[in-house]
Amino acid sequence: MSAIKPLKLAIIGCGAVIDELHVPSLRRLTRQGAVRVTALVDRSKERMARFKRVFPEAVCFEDAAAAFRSAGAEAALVASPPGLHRAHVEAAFSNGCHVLCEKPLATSVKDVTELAGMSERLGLILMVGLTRRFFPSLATAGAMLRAGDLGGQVEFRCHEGGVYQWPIASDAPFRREAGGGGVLMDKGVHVLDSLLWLFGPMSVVGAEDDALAGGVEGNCRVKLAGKEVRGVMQLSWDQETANGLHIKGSFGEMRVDPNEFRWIELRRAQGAWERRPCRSSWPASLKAPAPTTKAPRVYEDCIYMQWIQFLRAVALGEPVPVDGRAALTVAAQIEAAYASAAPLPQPWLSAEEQTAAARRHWRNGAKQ
Amino acid sequence: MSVSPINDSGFRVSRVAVLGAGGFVGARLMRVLRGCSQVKGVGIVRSAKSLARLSSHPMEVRVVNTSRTKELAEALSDCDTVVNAVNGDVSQVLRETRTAYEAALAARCKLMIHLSSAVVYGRANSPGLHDDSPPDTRNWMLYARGKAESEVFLRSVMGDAKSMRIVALRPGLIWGPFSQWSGMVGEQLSRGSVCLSNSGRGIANLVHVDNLVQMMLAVHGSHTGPSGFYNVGDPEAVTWSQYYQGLCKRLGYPETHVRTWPDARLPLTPKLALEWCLQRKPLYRVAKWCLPRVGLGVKAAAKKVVKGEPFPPGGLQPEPKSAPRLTREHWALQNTTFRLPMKKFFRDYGPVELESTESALDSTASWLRFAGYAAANGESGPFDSTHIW
Repeated sequence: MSAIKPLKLAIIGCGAVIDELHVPSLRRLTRQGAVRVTALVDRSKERMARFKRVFPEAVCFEDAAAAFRSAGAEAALVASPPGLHRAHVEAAFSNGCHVLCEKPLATSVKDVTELAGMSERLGLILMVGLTRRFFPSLATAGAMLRAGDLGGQVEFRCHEGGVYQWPIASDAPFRREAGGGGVLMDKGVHVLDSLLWLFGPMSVVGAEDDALAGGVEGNCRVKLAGKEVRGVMQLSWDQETANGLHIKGSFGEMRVDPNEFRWIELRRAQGAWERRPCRSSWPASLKAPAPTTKAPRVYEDCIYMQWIQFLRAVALGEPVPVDGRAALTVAAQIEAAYASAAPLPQPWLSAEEQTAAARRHWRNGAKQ
Repeated sequence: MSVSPINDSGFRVSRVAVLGAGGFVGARLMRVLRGCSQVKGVGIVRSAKSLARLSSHPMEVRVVNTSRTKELAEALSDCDTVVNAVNGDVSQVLRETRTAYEAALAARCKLMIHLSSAVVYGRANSPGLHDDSPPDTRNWMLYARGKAESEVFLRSVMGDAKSMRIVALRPGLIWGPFSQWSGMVGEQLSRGSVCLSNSGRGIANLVHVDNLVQMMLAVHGSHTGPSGFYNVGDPEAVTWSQYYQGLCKRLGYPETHVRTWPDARLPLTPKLALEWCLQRKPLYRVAKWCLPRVGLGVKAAAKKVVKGEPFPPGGLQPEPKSAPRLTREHWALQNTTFRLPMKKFFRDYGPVELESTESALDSTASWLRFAGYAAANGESGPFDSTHIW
């Protein structure tokens, strides 16, 4: 049973992320009486009709402003294409709604700054869906790094690659004006947020990608450096890579598999690898003041715990893991990476193909 | 059919529709066509997610329901050639081939290049196999049966389609940068989990993706080549051991990282029995229906069972004491006995400049290094400062 009255929620954008990730948690929270989905907003009537079957109480709208005016929502889940996030979050704030916004919060530093400022001025919650903050493996790794377990002069290498599998409804993620970029704006937001959370402030010192003029990057490499830390983040939409975060310090090494919640791998000097169990837990109920906590076992649990944190923030005033200011640090590095992007060296291509790719790189603005 | 535009040099630009342009082969073909002045690629994909592989290079791509003949025919109406590189639902291979053929015919295309597979001959365990040997329509693999049934269908209509040539190419394993068959080697080497059945002596019927693309372009460029079925592959024959060792050496791992197991028998396990069951069409369809309906937890658990738990990086597994735990597909591949002959292709479509195995291994290894699979202490390892900085 919930200790908090049901929160009236508007869902802005009924795409794949709602279907794949949010529906199980929202169903559960609806059953518990913690949430009531009162409005669905999308340009596609077909998609809205599908979710209307799941949330029969909800009224369907094609326009977000109309939904906020008439549905009496107290909060909004913004899950529209990233290029529309700013307009939709602003509309929610203008109607006094708290916001849980899917990543990225917006596609430019200017927009993120303004949304973060608005949230603070209006006293409304702005939480960004950077769910990796709930990964027990990353929480354990962060605690060990902060305790200095790996020693100084930390270097890291992070790979995340895989064939793009999201059952998206439109081509928005592949258009710069709608999606803000390619794989860096997609996976990169999650990965950068994790890295900045683990290692503290870092700046982009080099970036390379494979986008030609008129396209968005499917592969990219970003070099980062901070105080006593430096490393490389590499992302791909094309094929699986040696996925994981490999960290090396003066005392030892650590390997974190983003999909493995149960343990991280450690070794001292050149010794054998050992598994260290991860038991970080999060509030799993809405009861105040002493909630029960649970360790997420799968990604679905992280989404549920993210919702619990959001609801606790709205009802109890607790802080959210990623607010507008935290999102700003990620947005700033992404913008810096795009601003300094150079052609990605692709030595597996012929010399002619490499030359053509470099000449037509999107930062060169060459005419196609 | 609309008239194709004329390029700067005064040549008529022909248009090649690539069905399955978002796949590994389709995307590579589209990128190569992008650099051609006399041929224009038109990508055809079934869903928006397939645009990801094409997103870095702006190209003409159409999102079409490829299972509807009329819709597909409309999308092909301004194209001269259709390349069927669809790699979708394994239980629908025949249906998709039939739709592609009917749509290409309705759109009055002049040539259909169909990507079949060497898997239609299973383990290729007969020395007398030739390009026109009948495919095995009773293979245990659903995918192989689908490809074989598609060949039977195409052979039956080849004579009817007077206005359209049909050329079916049978590649083996398509490898190279961004190929799952090359990524697999990198991953196994980095985990120290390589163990090849049959002492690694089985024939790896490989074709480098760029060689396959060159062969497709040769077919497209030939105005006299006949319809028919053709085995295609790399210029040299290599064994599984040679393939793994070639990449192992280039990635900086010691030779001993590629272990072999002398036996060629497949040990029976419950996992293999389940795998066999899922190759039956009705069971496969039930499993496919269930998959989106189970929670992420069940999916994650199933994935762990199928893939096995990862081993610590850089750690070599102890010497094998029993046969390697291979999937039935991998076992069949590693126990392939003969190389499929390719003379017919070169006889009908002339010499094609193909990349040598050595050079292809070099380029593939450079991609694997980029993907993070190099040995930790070797050249360009994870923390090699010259590589990172």
